[in-house]
Amino acid sequence: MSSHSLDPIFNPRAVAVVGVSSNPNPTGMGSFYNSLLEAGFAETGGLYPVNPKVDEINGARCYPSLMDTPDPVDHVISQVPARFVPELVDQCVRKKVRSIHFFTAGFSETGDARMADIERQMITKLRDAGIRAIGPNCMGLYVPGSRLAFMAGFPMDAGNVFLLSQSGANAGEVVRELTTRGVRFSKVVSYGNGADLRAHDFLDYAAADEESTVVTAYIEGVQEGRKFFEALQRCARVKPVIVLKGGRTASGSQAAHSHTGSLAGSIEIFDAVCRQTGALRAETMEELQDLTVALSTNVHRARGRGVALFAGGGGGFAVLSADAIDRAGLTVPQMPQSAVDEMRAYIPVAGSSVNNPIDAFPPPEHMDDMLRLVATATGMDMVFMSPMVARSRWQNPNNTVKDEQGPVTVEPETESIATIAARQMRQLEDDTETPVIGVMRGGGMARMMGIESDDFFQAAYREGIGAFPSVARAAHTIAQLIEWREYRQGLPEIP
Amino acid sequence: MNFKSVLKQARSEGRTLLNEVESKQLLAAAGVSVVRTELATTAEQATQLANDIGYPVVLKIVSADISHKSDAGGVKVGLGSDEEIAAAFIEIVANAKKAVPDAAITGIAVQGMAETGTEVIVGMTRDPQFGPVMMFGLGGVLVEVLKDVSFRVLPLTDRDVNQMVNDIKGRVILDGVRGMQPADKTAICDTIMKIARFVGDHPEIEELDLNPLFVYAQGIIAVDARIVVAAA
Repeated sequence: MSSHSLDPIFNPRAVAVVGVSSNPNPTGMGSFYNSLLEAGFAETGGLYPVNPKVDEINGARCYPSLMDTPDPVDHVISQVPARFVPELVDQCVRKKVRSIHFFTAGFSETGDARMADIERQMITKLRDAGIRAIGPNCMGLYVPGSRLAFMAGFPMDAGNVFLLSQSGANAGEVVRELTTRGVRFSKVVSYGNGADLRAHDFLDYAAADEESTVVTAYIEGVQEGRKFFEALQRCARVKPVIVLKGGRTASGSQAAHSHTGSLAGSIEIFDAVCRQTGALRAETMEELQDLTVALSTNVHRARGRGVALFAGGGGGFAVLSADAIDRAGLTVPQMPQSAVDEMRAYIPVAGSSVNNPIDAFPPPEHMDDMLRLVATATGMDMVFMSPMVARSRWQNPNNTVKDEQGPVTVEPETESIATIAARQMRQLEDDTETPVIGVMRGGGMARMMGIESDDFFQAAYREGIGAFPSVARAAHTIAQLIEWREYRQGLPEIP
Repeated sequence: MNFKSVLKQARSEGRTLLNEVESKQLLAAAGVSVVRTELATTAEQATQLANDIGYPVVLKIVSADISHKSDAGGVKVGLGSDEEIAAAFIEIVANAKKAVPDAAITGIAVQGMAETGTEVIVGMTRDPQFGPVMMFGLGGVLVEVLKDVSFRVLPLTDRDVNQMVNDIKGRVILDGVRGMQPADKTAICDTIMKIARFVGDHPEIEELDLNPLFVYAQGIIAVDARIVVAAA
């Protein structure tokens, strides 16, 4: 494992939650003690609630002050009101903690110069004592490998994604949304005001962190632009970095005396920064999530722009999907005549299309052959596939398939359709070396198919198959990756 | 003409905007290809300069108080003889005084004429977070309408410059459409690099526009330039 100066922050031996609520079952934002209990931190490290007004919380001893907790305490979570923070800072110095996370808000983000000044003073004091600070005004850390979590219900299996978010609520949203897509995290940091540790510090950490192979960031105000630029550059040279920049300032300044000045809006400049450093810029939360899925699965292996679309759904769906693929800058190439002829051997002509998009279902026993034909046809760089296609194999009404010897009964499946479909996609990709990308519409269509879309996303992710909630989003994501690869030219290949 | 003396002059006059002659001459000294432009304070001097530069020439009013030179009748193009210069000089000064009666007139710029080429813009501004950024785009009057421009943060690498030139939607125009010869991208990149270095050498420069630059199949030349410096 790499040894980075911030490592201890992500691996504390003991955590004190100071200002813990006396309400035994607090929910929602700021229920750090309960989240850590649920995450199992107390089973591996010391977990000390601190609140002078209560003796115990759910049967566990509650300490009147940080100074009363056992030694060592490596990490402190501050939930005390801002007016108690200076005293807590002094205690942290005496207690020789390594890091403190200020959930406490009410400092520089208020715009109050006095509070900004207090923030600066407390950071100076902490730094002088060698203590690093996260925040104020943020949710802090979610590190499944160290059993740290800032909200309830986060999965405790570790993954490959490092998430950096200025906003705590956005960090929570990205974790929950991406978790339902199957993604798992190595480390998540919400850093709020960034009074001490800032985006560039965490980007440098993420670049070096062997557990993180994809870095996803939500940034509002960039602090110390040059340092941010250089850290982003270092990180994006070695790993895919996805950045969503919130907060668009007006295009250019009113006072500009030049065309250049009036045209240089914050988003235009940030876009240039991403291209220059080799990072990927997401424009929406959906893009951030889709790109994170794509770079953590097989999707980034898609080369070329030709999509074989095998998603069922009927003629109208096929036409609209082909339009969406085209609009994104990918193509839906014509199926070569030889492949069409071969498919026609098992597909009746009427009411079906074996051109591309393929809107035809062969008899179940020929589905595998059909999929292989599609995936290996000339011009098809990837296959977009719906779990609906896989469904026909085992969900025929009589649980039978026709064999040369006549109908045979198929054993009822014990696994979910989603799991089987995902495995079939993996198999197809392994056999043909053509990336297979899952497409699964939610809502009524999913209900009709009897597949929970979240189940499918997660099953696909476990198989290393990227899956998207629409053809348009899948196509747009892949087009973004192609463009990214183009402008990354001249930078080292990401291993 | 060196940067320090121009800066000192501008600041002594309370200006943050360098005039066209100052801007172009500083850029020319930095190795940027610029249409030769000289300042004349008399009609006689203007005639001498025109002969030295070579006819035809353009005359333009130079006054800190007149920003829209054409609107004030302060520009005369395609002047081909000593007689035309003498007449144009008097007319421009009269027009300017009529348009802006209290205008302080620095003089008249005598500028060579460049053959029209593909119009591009190269500029620099300072971003509050990332510092100096360069801009490139299709230039001329359409820049404000089409906003087909790309940016890069300084310092620039060769990769950055090549990419910013190819980032714009109108790159097909540079590549040559309908039998037109492709524009000299090497010259564009070279110019951007020279301007980036110039800006890097002079932190007092706040904003800068070269618009338009004419790009040819071979070569490039800046026809107009504007430099804004920080107040003292």
